[in-house]
This record gives sequence, structure tokens and C-alpha cells, in this order.
Amino acid sequence: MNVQLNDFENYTTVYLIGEIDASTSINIQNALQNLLDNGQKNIHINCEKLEYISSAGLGALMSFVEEIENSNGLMVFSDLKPKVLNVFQLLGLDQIMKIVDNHQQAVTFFQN
Amino acid sequence: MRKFFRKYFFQLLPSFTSWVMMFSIQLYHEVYDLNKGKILFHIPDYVYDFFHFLFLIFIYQAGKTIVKKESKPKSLEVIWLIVGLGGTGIIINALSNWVSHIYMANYSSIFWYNLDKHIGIITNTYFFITLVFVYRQLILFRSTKPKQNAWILLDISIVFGFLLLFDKYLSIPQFIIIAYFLASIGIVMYLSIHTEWVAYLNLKEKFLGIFFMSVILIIQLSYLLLVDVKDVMNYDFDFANNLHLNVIYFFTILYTFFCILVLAFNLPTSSLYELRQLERKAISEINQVILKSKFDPNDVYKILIHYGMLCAKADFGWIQISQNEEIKLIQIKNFNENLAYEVHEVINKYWSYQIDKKNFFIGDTNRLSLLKNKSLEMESFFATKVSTQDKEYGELILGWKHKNAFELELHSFLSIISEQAAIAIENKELFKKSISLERYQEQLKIAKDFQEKVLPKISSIEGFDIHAINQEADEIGGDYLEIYQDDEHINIIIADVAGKGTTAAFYMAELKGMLQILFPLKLELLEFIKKLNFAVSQCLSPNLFITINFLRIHKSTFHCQLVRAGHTPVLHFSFSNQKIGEYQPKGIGLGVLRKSISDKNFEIHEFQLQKNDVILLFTDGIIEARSENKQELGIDILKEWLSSFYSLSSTEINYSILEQMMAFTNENKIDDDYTLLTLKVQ
Repeated sequence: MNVQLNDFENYTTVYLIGEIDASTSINIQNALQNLLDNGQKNIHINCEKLEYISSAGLGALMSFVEEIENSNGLMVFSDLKPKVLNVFQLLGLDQIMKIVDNHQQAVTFFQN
Repeated sequence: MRKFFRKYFFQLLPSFTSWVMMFSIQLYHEVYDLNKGKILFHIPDYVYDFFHFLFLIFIYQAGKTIVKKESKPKSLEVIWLIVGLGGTGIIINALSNWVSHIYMANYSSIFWYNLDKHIGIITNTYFFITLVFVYRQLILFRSTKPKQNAWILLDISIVFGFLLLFDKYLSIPQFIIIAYFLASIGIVMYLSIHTEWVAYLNLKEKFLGIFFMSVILIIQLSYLLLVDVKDVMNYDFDFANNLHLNVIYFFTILYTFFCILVLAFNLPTSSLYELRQLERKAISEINQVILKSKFDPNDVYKILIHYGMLCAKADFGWIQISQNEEIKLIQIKNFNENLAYEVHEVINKYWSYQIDKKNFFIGDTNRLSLLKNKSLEMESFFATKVSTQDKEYGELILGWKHKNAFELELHSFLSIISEQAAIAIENKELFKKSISLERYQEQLKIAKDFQEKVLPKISSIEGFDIHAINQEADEIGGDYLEIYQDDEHINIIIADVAGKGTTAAFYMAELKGMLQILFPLKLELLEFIKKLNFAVSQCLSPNLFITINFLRIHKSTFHCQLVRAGHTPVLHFSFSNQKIGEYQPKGIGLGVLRKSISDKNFEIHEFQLQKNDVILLFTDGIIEARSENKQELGIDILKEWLSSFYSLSSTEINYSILEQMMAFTNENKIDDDYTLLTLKVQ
């Protein structure tokens, strides 16, 4: 499991790579907390290379959703693999998170 | 001294009485000679010799008991005692000699002369016989059977010697006496070579030993000169008359002489013995630290540095330990801390260069290029690892002000005590770990018992065949099942708290409490789930959530309502059309949205149950079970199994599914909690 960051003008892209389970979910949590602490509220999470996410991983992502919304920020997920998307939908995260098909669509969110 | 005499009064009394008798008879003889004819009664000579014999036997017996009782384990203390006794005897002797010279010309000189002579006899005999038994203690130190037998022979030959007092009356043939002396010499020679006790003395004690033994030799010679030579000068010396003590004289003098020689020759080996002694002391002190209830590894290091420096006569020393991956120097003795760190860096470099993987390192600081220009007082040093076979705890470093100070024989000592220290620390750590593990397991057992109480006992429900399996990955887990019946409905809830183990189990217990409050309120499903979400959000940590399925069955109509909060779908096998419905109505996990939850976040799925229909409620542990090649089971395979097992009873369906699951995972341990509930309409 790996987290890579790519800063752009008004948003940051976070690449989640590999499998996220209880032991690795802390990495995402730290990465996202860091961004928020540095004032970055617009976050694009690219899941192109995310193979698996456990409930602990979902919990880590979930905990930021309301916080970002309340601070008028925006968190967008893109390029979810069907299996991962299914997990998001099962838990009902698709109701509260912006999930788009691809990177380009995510970028347009931030440009508007 | 008074105490001593009081204690042994009855031991000493018979010999002293005999001596008084001897002295009186001798005096009577003298008086009788001077007054021939006036005193008619004559006491024969053999009466005097008889009392002399009794005197010897009694002393011999008393000496044996007293020395045995008084001798302490430390050999030197016994020697100290005998030096005292002998010295006092000599002084008394010299005094009586001086007094008898003063009265020589006087008539009363007969009295003084005889008193002097008998004081000579008593002091001489007491001294030599006590000495025999003191030496017996030394010789029989580390006793062996041949030594003990030889001692018995010496005993016999000494007592036989006493009988020679009567030689003049018995006229024992010369050859027997010669044979007796030769045999005695043999025994004495054999016994005298046993000086093993010397090896157990340290250097200081050996020097003391030589001193004491020399004093004893001088006392012995003085006695012979004072008593026997005095007799010669008085033309009173009769060889046969003194035969009785010759074995004792010969034995004690020879042994004293031997001991002095052996002590002198053993002086150079003392340091090794001292090392062994220090080693024992250090180890026993380390062991005592382990036994303390409050164990501090620093106490062990303190002992290690103390004994390390003491035995190596080191000028400097410290111990390196690594704490949280950081190197720390402790117990720095007589050395600048910053310099110690610098020296240590160099030593650490050496360890990494070392090819032969020794656990010690001897060095001259001036050869170490990095330290060349530093003004170190330290010229040479020694480093050894404080480690057990499994774990390294630190290093012991000793330094000296002069070059080549390290002696190789120190190495074994230092490595032994270093290892002992490491073992002590390791043992204590293992002990602590096992205690806390035990405590932890005890806690888990309590939690498990508790959880078993929390999970409902699935009782039979009229009109339904119902069975559930619940298995936790760890001792306790986060899956939960609840069935609540009221007049109208059967309410079934299956839940999964995110995460595993103790945290999940605690939230599960909280969930049970919330459900027990909500069920009797008979709320509509949406209202129920929103209230539950509110309650859960109050207590759950921000990155956790709970998923549930809430199935409500009308008791008479079998009409069902299902609300899903992020949980896995519900499977429904319809017997009438032989199809499986997978129900996954819209619904968000409890605790995902904590503030702004509304009716819009959920949907209620309604359906009708009929006879022989089967409902499967499960947690993600079932469909996320993985095969050996990491393939997930998935819901489709579960559906297949359901459609082949539907005709069985609920219990059989559950166990068939479980069996298939085990086959799928190749009986790999399923590392998640899983729960499976089958409900069949009868």
C-alpha cells in the first residue's frame, strides 16, 4: 500500500496504490490530515491502482468526508475499479462522496 | 576466653586433674628423696607414668572435640587460634622458667623447678595436640576415603606412641619400635602432602598463611628447645622417655614446613583464584538483583561495571546500551562523556569491520586513526558484547592509562559476567512478558465469556426453522446478531462493527444496549434506523462505522420489511419460483453520516415470504473469505450454494455452507469474523 501526492494550483491529487487494510489505513489518514492541516481542502483521490479496501480503510476515508464538507472543501474520487466501487456503494459512501469515472472529470470539478 | 573455658571446662578437667596428680607425685618423689627414711610410703614410678598417660589421652580426646567444634569454615581462623594458644604457652613457659631460675639456690627451688618442668609438659602437650587436630581439619578438607583411612592409622600410631611411656617397664623389642617409627613416618609423609586448602586462599590470605605458619614453626622449635633441650642440659634427657610425642612432633613440624613451601609456590597462581572468586561474587550479586521485586536493568549494569573494572584493574569504563534504537552510554566511570561517545563510534566501526565475528575486541587507542590526534588519557581498551544467544543488550568497555594492559585470562571472566548480566536481563524480560501475556489472556477470556452472554441464544420461533453460526477471528469480535419478538413482528438484526477484536467487541456491547432500548418503542423502520444512527454516532470513534441489516417479519402475514445500513445484501430463496433474490436497498452505514442523516439515505425493501422460502443473513466475513490464491468467495458462489442446499433444514444449510467455505479457503484460517443466519419458513 502506497500513498502518492501531486499538488496542483487549487487541489491535490492523492493516488492510492495497492491494498488498504487495517494496518495501512493509518497512512491515508495521516496523508489526508496533513493536507487539511496545511489548508488544502480540495482533494482529488485517484483510485486507479487501488486493488482492495477494507472497512478500516473505508473508515479512514469516511472520517474526512463531513469535515471537508463543513469547511467548504471538496473531495472527489475517480477511477474506482468495479470491486472497489461496489464496496463504496455497499456502505452507502456513494451517497455522500463525489465519485466520478475518470481523472479528467474529477479535474473539471475543481476548475469550476 | 572465659567463655571458652566455661564451655569446655568438663572437657579440660580430666587432663588438668591428671596433670595436677603428675606434678604432685613428682614433688612427693623429690621430697621423699631428700628425706629418705623419714617418709615411709613410696609411690612407684609407674604411677607417675600412668597419670602422664591418662593426661595425654584426656588431652587428645579434649583436643579432638574442641577443635572440631571451634573450627570455622575459613581455615585461616583455625590457624590464628593455634598461634594464639602456642604464643601464650611460650610466654607462660618463659615466665615459669625465669621464676625457677630466681629460686634456683633456694630450698623451695624443688617446687619451682618441678612446676616449671610440668608447665613445660602441659603447654607443650596442649599446643602440639591441638595443632594435630587443627592440621587434621586442613588435611581432611575435601576429604577422600584414603585420606580418612590414613588419618585413622595416624590416630592409632599417636595413641600407640603414648604407650611407649611404659617402654622402660615393658622392654618392648627394639625392632618393633623401629618398625613403628618407620610406619609412622610413612603415614605422616602421605598425609603431609595434602595441602589442597591452600588453593582456596586469595593472595592476601596466602601471605597471611605464610606468616602464621612461620610463627607456628618458630613456636614449635621454641617448645622443643625450652622443654627438651632444657632436659638435655639437666642431664635428664631420656630418648625413650620422650618417644611418646615424637610422631606428633615429626608430623606437625613436617606439615608446617610443607605448608609454608606450598603457600610460597602457590603465590603466583593467586590472581586466577581471585578472579574465580570475583566471578562467583558478581554472578551471585546479579542473581540477587533478579530476585528483587522491582527489577531495574541498571542495577545489573552497575554490578557489571563494578566487577569488570575491579578485576581488570581498569582506569576507565562504561556500558553502551541501545534504547529505542538510540545508542546511550551509561555508568561512565572516570571518563569524559563526550570523549566516550567518540571512542565508542570508533569501536562500533570496528565491530562492522570484524570478519571473525568475535564478541570482544582488544585495542590500543593510539592505533585507531580517528582518535590519533585526541588527547586521550586512555591508552588501551577492551570491549565485549553484553549479549545472550538471541539478543544483544549492549557492550561493556574498559580502558587503561597504559598500553597493552589487557591480559587475556581476563577475557573469559569478563565474557562470563557480561553474559550472565545479559541472561539476567533477558530472563526478567521474558518473565514480565509471560506475566502480561497471561493477564491479557485472562482479560480476553472474561471478554469472551461476556460476549457469549451478549449474543442471543437462538430459540425456536413458531412457524420458522432458524439457525445461526457465529465465529470470531480473534478471541472476541465485532459481529452481532439479535432477534426480538413482539406481538406482531419478529425483528432480526445482523450487525458488523468495523474492525476486529476488542474495540469491535466493546462497540458491539454498546450496540446491544441501544437496540434493547429501541426495540420496545415499536418504531417504524426508518425512524428506528435514524435513531440508531444518532446513538451510534455519539459513541463511535470517527473512523469507525457499524453496518446492519434489519429484517422485520409480520408474524401472521409473513410480510417482510428490510432496511439495510451499509451491510451485505440479504439473500432470499423463493421456493415457489426457485429463484434467489438479492436485496440491497439503498442505505448508508451507521456512523458514516453523523449529523445530516435523513430519510433519503435509506430505502425500505418489502417482500413476501412463503412456505419453504429460505432467508440468508450474513456478514462480510462469509463473502470475503479468500482462497489460497487470494480469490474472494463473492456473493454469486454463495447464491449457488443456497440454491443447492435450500431443501435441507436451516442447521444443515448452515453447516453445508460452512463446509463449502472451508473447502474453498482450503481450510485456511478465515481471518475475519463471520456470522451466518438461515431462516426457513415451515
